[in-house]
Amino acid sequence: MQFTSVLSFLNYSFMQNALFTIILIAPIFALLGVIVLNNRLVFFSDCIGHSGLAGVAIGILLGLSPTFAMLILAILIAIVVTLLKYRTKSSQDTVLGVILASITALGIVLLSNGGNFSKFTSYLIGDILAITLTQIIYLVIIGILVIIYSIFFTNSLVLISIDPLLAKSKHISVYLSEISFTIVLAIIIVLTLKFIGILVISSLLILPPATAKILANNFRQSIIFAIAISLVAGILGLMLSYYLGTATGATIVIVNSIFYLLAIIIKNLRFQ
Amino acid sequence: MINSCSHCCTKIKDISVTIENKIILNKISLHINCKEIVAVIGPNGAGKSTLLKVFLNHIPYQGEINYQVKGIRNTKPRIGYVPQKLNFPEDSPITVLEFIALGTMLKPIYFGVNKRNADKIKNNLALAEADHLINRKVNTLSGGELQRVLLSMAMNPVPDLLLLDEPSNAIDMKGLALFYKIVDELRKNYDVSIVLVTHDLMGVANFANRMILLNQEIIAEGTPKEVFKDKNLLKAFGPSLWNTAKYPEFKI
Repeated sequence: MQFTSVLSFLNYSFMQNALFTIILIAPIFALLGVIVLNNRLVFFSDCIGHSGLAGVAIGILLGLSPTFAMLILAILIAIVVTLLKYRTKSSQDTVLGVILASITALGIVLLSNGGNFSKFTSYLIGDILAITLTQIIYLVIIGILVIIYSIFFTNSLVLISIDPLLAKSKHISVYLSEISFTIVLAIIIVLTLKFIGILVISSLLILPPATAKILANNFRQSIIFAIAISLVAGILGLMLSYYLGTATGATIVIVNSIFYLLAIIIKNLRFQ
Repeated sequence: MINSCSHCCTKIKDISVTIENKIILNKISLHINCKEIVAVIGPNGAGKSTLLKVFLNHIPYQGEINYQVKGIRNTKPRIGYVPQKLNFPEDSPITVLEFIALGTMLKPIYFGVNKRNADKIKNNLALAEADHLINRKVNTLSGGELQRVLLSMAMNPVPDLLLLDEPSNAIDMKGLALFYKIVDELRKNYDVSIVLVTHDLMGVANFANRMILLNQEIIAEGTPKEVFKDKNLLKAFGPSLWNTAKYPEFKI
């Protein structure tokens, strides 16, 4: 196959939009994903993703935009989970497990009322090809804000993940950093949910940093590798999904999983 | 006898902490001079770690803490804290240089650490005889090495009050002797007040200027020699306490 024919998918404007979206969100997901892994928020991001169904349902019931309803619900969950972390003796996993189960069930019950659930399955698997130019502009603005946020908060969040008291001794506001990060994460997940898919969005957050961690010799490298892996897997996944006719989000996750396995093999070969 | 600079001190007055209706600390009052090492001992659950959280303003408390530098009240004291262990994932790639930069640099560490900051961090590590560890991954350090790295981090910038949380839990006897020696040098050279929470009664006996026996409230206070004579010590720790007298370091 010639190089030009490999790139023939770019003849379509919806594929150009999809490619631009991936180039935009892949580095943002990698930057946030490194913190998600470090601060053990994998289950939390899954919880926010799954709250999407309930958000859509509540939006329809109240006559609000589904995205707006999803945002409000996700931000509420972010605040509640972070507060409960410090206010209850229950483990974070237990709290998140209860919220994840309840919120997913609520979404399914509300959306399946009258047998109409199939209308909403696109939220489960995502549809990146449906993204519009206006939505891309919103994502650019949010992306810039997330990068600015990460410049100010990355050091604090990593130190908090290592020892909150140590962070406190360095005059870092533990509550402000943690609650702001969960809100930022909730916003990004909700805004990209429709394009990536509820079922795979948290995998997309954690797989590139997990692969990078295996190969990196220091933290800086782990972030640079995570961004590179996220970009390459995103673009490769998009191309594969076009030629194979598969869901883009899930295809990107499969490419990322293959990269993860390759990283383990490379690491083992290095030690032999 | 310590040579206090007399103008710098930490005074805590009537500090009480209650968590879920349980009294953890009850009206603790203390006066810590600069260049002084105060060892806080007590059985498990006595409130020793809670006292450190109070100093770090991490939990709600009643009472008053007053830091003074050169006779003037200091509302934003610098507090160095050395935890007993870190919550470090085994696969974390963070190096010692990056770890210390996390707490001292505003620029995110993914932009890298410039030479000026790296040199400063290396010089600080040298204070704790840990400069050779600068490029090692944190999760490959031994207990003693990690405590020295943490000590160096706590001394950057030089704190008004240095808190050490049970260093003896993570270090072997040889490493602990080196750790205490370094802490003592830092105390002398930098006029630092030090609060050391420990179970290692014998190790700190020749090292601390003052010892406090804590069990929700202060039940004995004085030089290590005085506290060791107090009958409340035996009551708090039980007869197994005297088994530790087999250590040669125990010279009261």
